[in-house]
Amino acid sequence: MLQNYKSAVCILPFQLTCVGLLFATTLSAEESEVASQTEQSNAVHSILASHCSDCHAGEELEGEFDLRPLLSALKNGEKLDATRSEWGRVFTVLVTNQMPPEDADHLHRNNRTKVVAWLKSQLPDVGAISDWEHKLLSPEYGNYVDHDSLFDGSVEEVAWSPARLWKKSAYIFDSLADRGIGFRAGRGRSPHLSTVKQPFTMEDRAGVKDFAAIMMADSATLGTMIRNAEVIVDKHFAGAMHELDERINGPTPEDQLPKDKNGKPIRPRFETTPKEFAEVILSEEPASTEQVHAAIEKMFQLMIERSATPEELLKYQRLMYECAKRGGQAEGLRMALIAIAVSPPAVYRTEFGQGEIDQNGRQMLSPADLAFAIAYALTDQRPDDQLLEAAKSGRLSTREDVAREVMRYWDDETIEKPRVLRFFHEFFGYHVAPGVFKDVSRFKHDYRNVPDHLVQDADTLVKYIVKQDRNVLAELLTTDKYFVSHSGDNKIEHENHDALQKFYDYYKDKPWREFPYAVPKEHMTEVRSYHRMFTHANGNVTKRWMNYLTRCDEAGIRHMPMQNGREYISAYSLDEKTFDYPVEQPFSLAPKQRIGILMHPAWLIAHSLNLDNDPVRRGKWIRERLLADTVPELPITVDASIPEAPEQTLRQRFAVTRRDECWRCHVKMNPLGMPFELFDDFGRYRKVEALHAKGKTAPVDASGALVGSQDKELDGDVKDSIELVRRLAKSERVRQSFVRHGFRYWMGRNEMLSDSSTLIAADKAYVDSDGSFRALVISLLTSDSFIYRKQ
Amino acid sequence: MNKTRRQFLRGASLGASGLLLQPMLNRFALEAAGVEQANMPQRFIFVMKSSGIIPERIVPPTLKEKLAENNTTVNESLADHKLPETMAPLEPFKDQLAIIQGLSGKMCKPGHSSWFGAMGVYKTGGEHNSGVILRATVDAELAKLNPSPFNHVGLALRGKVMGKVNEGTLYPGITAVAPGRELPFQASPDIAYQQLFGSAISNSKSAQTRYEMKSNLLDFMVNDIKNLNQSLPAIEREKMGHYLNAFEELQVRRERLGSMTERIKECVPEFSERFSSKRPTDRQQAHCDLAAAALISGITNMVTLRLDNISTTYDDLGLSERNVHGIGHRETCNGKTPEQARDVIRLHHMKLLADLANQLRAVPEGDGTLLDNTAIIYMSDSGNEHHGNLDQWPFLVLGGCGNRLKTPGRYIQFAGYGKNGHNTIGNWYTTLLNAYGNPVEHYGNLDLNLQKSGVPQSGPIAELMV
Repeated sequence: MLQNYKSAVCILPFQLTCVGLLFATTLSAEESEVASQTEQSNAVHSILASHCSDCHAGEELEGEFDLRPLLSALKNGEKLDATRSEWGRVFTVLVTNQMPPEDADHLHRNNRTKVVAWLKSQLPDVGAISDWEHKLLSPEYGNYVDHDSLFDGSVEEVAWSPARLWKKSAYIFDSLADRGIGFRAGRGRSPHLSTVKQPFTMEDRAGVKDFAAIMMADSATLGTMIRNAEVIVDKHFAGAMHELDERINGPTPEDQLPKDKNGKPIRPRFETTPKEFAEVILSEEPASTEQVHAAIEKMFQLMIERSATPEELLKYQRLMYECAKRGGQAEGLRMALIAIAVSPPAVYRTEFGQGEIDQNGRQMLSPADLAFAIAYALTDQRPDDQLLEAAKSGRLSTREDVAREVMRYWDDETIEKPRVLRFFHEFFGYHVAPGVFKDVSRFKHDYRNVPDHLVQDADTLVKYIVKQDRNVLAELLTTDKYFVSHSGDNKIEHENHDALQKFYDYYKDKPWREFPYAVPKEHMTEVRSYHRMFTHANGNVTKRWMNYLTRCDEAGIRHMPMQNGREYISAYSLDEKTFDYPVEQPFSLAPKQRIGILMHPAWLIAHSLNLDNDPVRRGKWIRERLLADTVPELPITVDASIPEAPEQTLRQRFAVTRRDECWRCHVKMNPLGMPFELFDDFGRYRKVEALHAKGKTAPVDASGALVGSQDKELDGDVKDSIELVRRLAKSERVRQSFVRHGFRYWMGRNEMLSDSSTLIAADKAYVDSDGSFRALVISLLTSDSFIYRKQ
Repeated sequence: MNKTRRQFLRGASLGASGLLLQPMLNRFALEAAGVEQANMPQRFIFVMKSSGIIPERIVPPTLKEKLAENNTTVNESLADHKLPETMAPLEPFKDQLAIIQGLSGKMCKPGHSSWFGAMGVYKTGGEHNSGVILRATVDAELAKLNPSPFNHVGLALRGKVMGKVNEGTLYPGITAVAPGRELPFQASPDIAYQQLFGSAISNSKSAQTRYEMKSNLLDFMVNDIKNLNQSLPAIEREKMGHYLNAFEELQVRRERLGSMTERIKECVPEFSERFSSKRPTDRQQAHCDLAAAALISGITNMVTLRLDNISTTYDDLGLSERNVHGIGHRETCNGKTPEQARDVIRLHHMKLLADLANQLRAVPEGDGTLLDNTAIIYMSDSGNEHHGNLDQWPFLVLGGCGNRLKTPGRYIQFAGYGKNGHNTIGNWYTTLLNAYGNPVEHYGNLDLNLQKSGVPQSGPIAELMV
C-alpha cells in the first residue's frame, strides 16, 4: 500500500524527467544516472534557493532555521547526509504546505512535488519522511493528496485499489453475534451469547475510521477471539455432550439434581446441538469424512458466513484427527471448530483480484469477494442469498452486474443499511455529542439524555434528506427544516398524537389527580385500548402526563409525544411550555437563527468544550471536511490553551492566537469557527454571550470569513454562520470534498492520484442527478477503484 | 514471522526463566537460603487515577507549616508525622510509603488527561483523542527490564478518560509498549481472570487434555498462517504478521506458564461474583486482586491499573449524583462539597492500595516480603487537578522498591517550579529507570522553559538514588 502511495503521489514527475533524459543523451547508463542526479540536484537547489533563501539563508534566519549547509550540499552535488535533521524539516514544511508562507511568492505545486519526490528518493530512511509515508495511510492525512490534480482531469492512470486484507469491523462482529451464531437472536445481543465479547475495537472518535491499511488484529484481538470461540462451541456442544455423558454414566440420579421451590428436581436443559455437530459427537464409530466435513461446513457458515473450500475442509479435518488422538472425537472436533472461529478469515475479509490481468496490471475482484464487498459496503452482514447466488452462477463478473446488485440493495427498503447513516456520522461527527462533558448546571434542565435526544433528531433529519435524495449535501447544510422529538414517520406520529389526545379527553373530567399508583382497572382497560404506549400508564405516569396535557390545552398548543425529558428542546431555543408541537415534520424551525446540520445542537455540542464553544475545532472541521484543506498538527512544544479571563468574551480570549507563530495555523480555523458564536455551547441561539464572570454578558459578535473555497465569488467576510454555510453550500470545492470523504469511507482508504477518474465520475453522477446521494454511492461502488485490484 | 524470530522468542523465554522464573518457583527455598535482594525480581503496579491528585490533600498536617515556603527541597521521614485522615489506611505501611511532591510536567498536555504524556513525558492528544505515541511509556520500559510471561498486564475500569465503554479490551491511551503501539487493557475482570490464570485453574484430566490439545491448535494456526502469508501481497504480509505474532506469543507464553502451574494454583484468587459484578468498586477490588495474584504467582512483574476515569460514578460510596467529572468541576454531590467528595474517593483508593500492599506483604521472599521488592506507584493522568496545570505532579510510592531507591518512608517535596532543586516527572522517571537498570541520561522530553532558565534536567535525581 505504501508503495502505491509513493508511486501515485510523488514519483511520477521524476519518472517523466528520466524518460526525457533518455532521449536527450547518448551517455552510458551509469553516466546517465550521474547526469540525471546532478540535474535533479540542481533543479532542487534552484527551487529552494529562489523560494527559501530570503528568510533562511541570509543574515537573519527566520525561525532560527539555516538552509545554507543544505543549499551548499545540493550545489556541490554531494550525497545528501541523512543524519541532518534539517532535511526532515524541509520535507515536512513542504509536504504539509506550511512553507513558503502565505505572504511569500507562491511555490507552484509541480515544483513542490519535485522537491518532495527528490527528498523521498534520496532519503527514504529519514524519520520524518518514512513517518510521513505511514501517516498518509490514515484518514486524517487524506487531504494531503492534491485536490486540484484529483479533479482537473490531468491524471491519466486508471483507477485501482491494492489487493488487501481488511479487518472485519466491530459492527460486523456485533451484527453476527446479534443474529445469534446459530442460537435464537435476541433484541441486540443474543441472550445465549451474553458472555461473548467484542474482539474488534474501533476508536470512539469522529471521522472516517475503518481503513483497511491501519486496522490490524493483535494479541488482544486473539485473546478475546479464542475465549469467544470456546464459549460459542461449548454452548453448541452442551446438549450433545450431556447426552453423551448420560449414555456413558447414565442419567444423573434425582437426589443429586438441584431442586425447585416445590422440591421437584430440575433436569438440566440445553439448546439443541446442531445436527452436524451432534452426529460427530455422538457417533460411536469414527465419524465419516462426510460427517466431519458437514460439521466443518456448518462452523464456516456460523462464524465466517461462507462455505469452506475443499482445502479448508481437508485441513480442519486433519486438525480434528490430530487432536482426537489425545482427547477423542468430540474433543477433536471442538478444537477444530475453535480453530475455524479464530482463523484468518474470521478476522480479515479478503479483497484479491482473480482471473485475467488487464493491460494495466489489474484484476477484477473475485465474484465471492465482490459479493462480500458490496454487502459490507452497505450493511454489516454477509451478502444475501440473491447476491451469493449471483456470485456463484457467474452473474457478478461485470460492472453492470455490480451496478445491478448495488442498486437492488440500495432500493430494497427491507434490507437495513446502517452503513449509510454511519457515513454521515463519520462525516459530520454530530453523533459524539453524548461524549462531551458539560458543566450541566448551565443548561438549567436535567441534561442526562439531552445529547442522545438531539443525536436522534439529527439522525432523523439526515435520513429524511437522504430519502428525498435531491441536493443532499446542500440540503444538509442549509435546510431550515428540522425534526424535533419526531420519528420521521408522520403517519405514526399522527396516530400517537391522536391517541394521547384521546387519553387526555378521557381523563380530563375524571379525578386523575387522586389516582393511586395502580390506576382503577376500568380506566386502564379504556386507555390501553387507545394505544400500547399506555400499557404501563400507572398513577404517577398518568398524573405527570395529564399535568402537561392540561397545560397544553390551556395554552392552546399541541402537545409533544409521550417522551420523558422533553425539556431537551431548549437546546433548539424552544420552551416546552410554549412549544406548539408540529405533528407533521420536518418543519421550519427558525430560519433566521439556524439552518442545517452545522447549526443543529447535536453538531454544536459535539464540537464544543466543557464550558465553551470550540471555534478552533469547528473551523478545523470546515477546513478539512468541506474545503478539502489541511491544518498542520499542533507542534508538541505548544501549550495550546487560552487564558481564563472571566470578564472577556471567548473571541477576546482567543486574541492570544493572533500572535504570529499561532496565527499561521489559526488563520485557517478561527475565521471559520467564530461565526458559530451565534450559539452557546449547548447549541442555544443567543444575542448576548454569558461571560464566565457571574452575571456578566457581552453582545455576540459572530463575524468571520470564508477563505479557501477557491471561488472568488464566495470567499470573503461573513456576518455569521448562516451566511458562511450558505456560501459553503454553493461551493464546487465543498461538493468535491464531500465526494472525497465518501470515497474514503466506501473504499476504506485515502484517495490516490490514480483514483482521479473515480472521483470525477462520482462528482459528475452527483451533479447530473441533481445531488442524488444514491447516484454518488452507486458511482463509487461501481468504479474501477472498487472493482479492480492490483498487487 | 519466520523461524528465526520464533526461535528468538523461545530463547528469550528460556533466558527469562533462567533469570527470573526459577527464583520465583523456588521462592520459599530462596527464603531459607537468604538470597540477596539484589537478585530478586522487581515488580511494579502503576495505579492511574483520573481527575488529578490535589497536592495539599496528601500532606501530613504536621508538615504543612514546614512546606509553606517551597524554595528548597524538603525530605522528611514520615515516621514522625501522621498521615492525613483520608490516607489512614496506609498508616501501617508508612515505612514503605513515599509521598513525592513538587515534580512538574509542563512538557505534557494539560487538561482532563495528558494521555501517553503522563508516563511518556511529552505533549500529545486532544480533548477526546489520545494522540500520537512517540515512545514506550515508563511503565513499559520498566516491564522490559523485568521480563515475565505476561510482560505487561493492563487492567482498566473504563477506556479513554471520558469513555463510557467498560467491557472487553480497551485502549485508554495511557500506556505504550513502543512508538505507535498501545498496550491493550482488559476491562472485564472475568475475562482477565481466564486470560491470566486459565491455564492452571483446573485440575481435571479433561482440562489437562484440552490444554495439551491447544498446543496442537496453536501449532496448526501458526503453520496455517505462515502458508497463507506466502500467497499474500508483500504489504499485507506485515498485517497478517501481527496476527501470526499473536499466536506465537501465546505459544511462548504457554511454554513459560507450563512450568509455573503449581505456583499459579497457589496464588489464584477464588473466582467469585465480584469478577462479574458491574459495580465500579467491586471491579476495582477485582482488578486489585488480579494484580496482586499475578505478581505473587510470578506470571507478570508489571501491572498498569487504570483505576477509574472521569465518567465513573461512585454510587457505592454514596456519591451517586455526580460522576468524577462533575466532582472535578466542583459540583456538590449528595450533600458533600467537592473537597469532601474527593476525600471519600481518596479514602477508598487508599484502602485499595493498602489491600494490595497487604496481599504482597503476606508473601515471604528472601529475608523480607514480596512488598519489599515491589513499587506501587499511584498517580493521576491529569497531574495536580481535574484540569491539571501540571506545575506539580504528585506521586505516592508504596513498597520497598527493592532497596534501589531512598524513597520508602519519606515525604519528599522538591523546590517549586523553576527554582533551584526543582525536578520534573522526566527526572523522576529517569531516576526509576536508572535505579532498575536502564542508565538513560534523560527519559522523555525536556521542559524547554526550564532549560532556558538553566534548571538542569539530565540524569537521575541524586538524592533519590541509593
